[in-house]
Amino acid sequence: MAPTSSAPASTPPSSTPPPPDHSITISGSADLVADFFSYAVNTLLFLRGVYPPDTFKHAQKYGVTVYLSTDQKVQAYLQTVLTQMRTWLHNSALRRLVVIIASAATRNVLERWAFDVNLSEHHQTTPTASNPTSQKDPQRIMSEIQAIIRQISATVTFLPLLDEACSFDILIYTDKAVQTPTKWHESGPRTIPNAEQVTLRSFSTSLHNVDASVSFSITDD
Amino acid sequence: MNDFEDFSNFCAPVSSGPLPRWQRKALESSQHVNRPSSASVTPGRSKSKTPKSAKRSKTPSGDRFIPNRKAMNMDVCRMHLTFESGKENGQRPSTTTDPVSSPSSTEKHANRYKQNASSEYSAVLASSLLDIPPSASSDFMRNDLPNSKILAFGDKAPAAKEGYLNPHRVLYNQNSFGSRVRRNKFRHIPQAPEKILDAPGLLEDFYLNLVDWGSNNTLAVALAESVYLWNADTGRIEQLCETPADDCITSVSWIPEGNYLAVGTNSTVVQIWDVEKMACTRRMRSHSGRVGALAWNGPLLSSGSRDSQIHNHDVRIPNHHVATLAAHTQEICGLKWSPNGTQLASGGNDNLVCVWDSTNAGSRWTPKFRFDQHNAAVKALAWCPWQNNLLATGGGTADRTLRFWSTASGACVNSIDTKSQVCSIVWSPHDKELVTSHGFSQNQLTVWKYPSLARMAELKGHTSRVLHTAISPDCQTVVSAAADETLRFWKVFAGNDSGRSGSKSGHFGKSDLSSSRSLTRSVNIR
Repeated sequence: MAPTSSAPASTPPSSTPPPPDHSITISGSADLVADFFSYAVNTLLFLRGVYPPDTFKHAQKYGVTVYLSTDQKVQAYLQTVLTQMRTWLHNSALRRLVVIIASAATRNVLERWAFDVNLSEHHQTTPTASNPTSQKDPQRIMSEIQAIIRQISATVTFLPLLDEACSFDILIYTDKAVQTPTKWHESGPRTIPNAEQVTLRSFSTSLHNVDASVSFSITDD
Repeated sequence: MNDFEDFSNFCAPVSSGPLPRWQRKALESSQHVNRPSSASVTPGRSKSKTPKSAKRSKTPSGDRFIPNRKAMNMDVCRMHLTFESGKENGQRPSTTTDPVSSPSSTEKHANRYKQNASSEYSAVLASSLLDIPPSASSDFMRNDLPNSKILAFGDKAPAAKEGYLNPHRVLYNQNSFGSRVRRNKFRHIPQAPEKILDAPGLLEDFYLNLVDWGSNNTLAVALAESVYLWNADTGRIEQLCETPADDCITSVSWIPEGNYLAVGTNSTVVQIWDVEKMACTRRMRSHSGRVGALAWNGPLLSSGSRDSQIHNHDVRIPNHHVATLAAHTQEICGLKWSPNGTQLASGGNDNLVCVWDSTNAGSRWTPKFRFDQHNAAVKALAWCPWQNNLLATGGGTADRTLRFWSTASGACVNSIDTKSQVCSIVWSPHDKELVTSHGFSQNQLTVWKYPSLARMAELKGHTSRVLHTAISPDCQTVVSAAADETLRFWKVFAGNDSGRSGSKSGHFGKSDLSSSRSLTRSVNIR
């Protein structure tokens, strides 16, 4: 829980020379998390079959195969949302990112993928002026992200089949203080009644912790 | 006032919970009796002393219940009461030294603890008693992350393509309702093949057509570089032809009269073989890609190729290439002339089915209908033999549907999701039935009733996808060739009445009828 971080932390100047070894600045850490979200959302859309598989190309990232949408409209939508998300992440205003997969016909939420973002204690206590850095080995972060992506791929074994046309949506939990940008609006959490929740792995840059979980409807059987 | 402070000091640690009986007694007594000395006693001692002094001062001598205090370990009880909340945050010492703040902090802590516990408890209780899931009652509209707001982008993500189905379906449904077939409603269909032949080297390629059963009751099978003829009457096997090692046979098709076999090759040549003389009578070059599909219409041979074109060859004349049918954009894998010879159906890897009308084609052929409802390559095509203008088509792995078209109106008159790749279709000429062959996951043949599309039987046995099927001239047996390199003969249809009575004992019917026809209606090919 990070309620004390609501004071908007200004983006650290990106021009600061990178400290020696493999230390990660707060801005670098935010970029890392934002990149992860981008790959995770794209891969989710592929793995859950929201869009036809032939509209995806595959790429190697984090040592695993990730899938990226090549559909122009999907790309444009993701680009808009994820760019805004990245800004919030840099301002430490992002609290959680939720991918909703809902039935296109009834709009019932079928799956809800939540990625909680927590700023680490270290960052909360020290003011941003002191430019906190992480000394965590990037290789370790990479392998943690890899583990999450692998786990997401493996969910196909227990998640129910999405046996209808589906749409997806991205909800972003931000601090109360954040001003709602134009074309954005506040939404309900769109949780799933009677849901089964599975907590997935988490990864940490030691500045940001990301906890993943998926909840899905278990109405059948 | 001093007394009051003493008193609050004295009772401080237990103020969070309900007062123990001895404290209530002490309270009463302190109200009545102005207690003299306990203020000066050290707090640690006062705790141990208090019960005793309170008890002594108030114990009546009547016939009331008198608890045996000696038997109770009051010190331990008290220690449990006070420490329970205070010990985690190390507030134990402060309770004694700071009389004002300590009760409040302990209280606060205890209250919070109690609150958390009780809300959790009541939620669990409510969910178990009222049968409401805990999340449903509280979380549905409430923001589950305090002090935050949830934002969503106004423009929503685009919807997936129309008619797109989740490809994971194939992972989940493995023809699960196959067991629900009501077999007793229909006639008996043997579940086991009558005969199994080995077909070593049969190419595992969805886009080819390597098996055909001619009206001379001879089965032509292309195994990689060779074409073999298996005579169903005698069981004799002959090798008809062999291509060079770098070439292979990609399609075979019997002329309806049964004396000639058209052979398409990977080297783009279409050959016509005379099976009586076992000689190649003609080689026709026109395509620029392998010839994967062949169909006869009288003396006209249509060939579909990987170059996405269909060529019509008039095999009687030297300048054989008489028409080019170009509407597909990818390899042609299915090609069938309608029984009356007026319409040609073609299916391609571009998921398209085209119907061509030969009657008003002239020199320039344009498709009469283009059906693009399939989501995968269409190899399985079959014209209904007993109803004009009825065409059955089946889609590949990504589609898995069986569709029926009226080629008079262009409407899709029927469709069903078969849950599996459709590799080929054979209609029964005498019953309103058809057989489809499938790939993953059951590699079965399915017998359907038309138009109800009830499953009459599922014929399992192949261990890999069933790529080709052909029907015998007596219309009873269907041969299936699968990627497991076997040919299996299934007695699926009842056949016509004369055949039914005539071929009770025989294996694959009599060929005298068809061979006599081939004599009377032989085609003159140069």
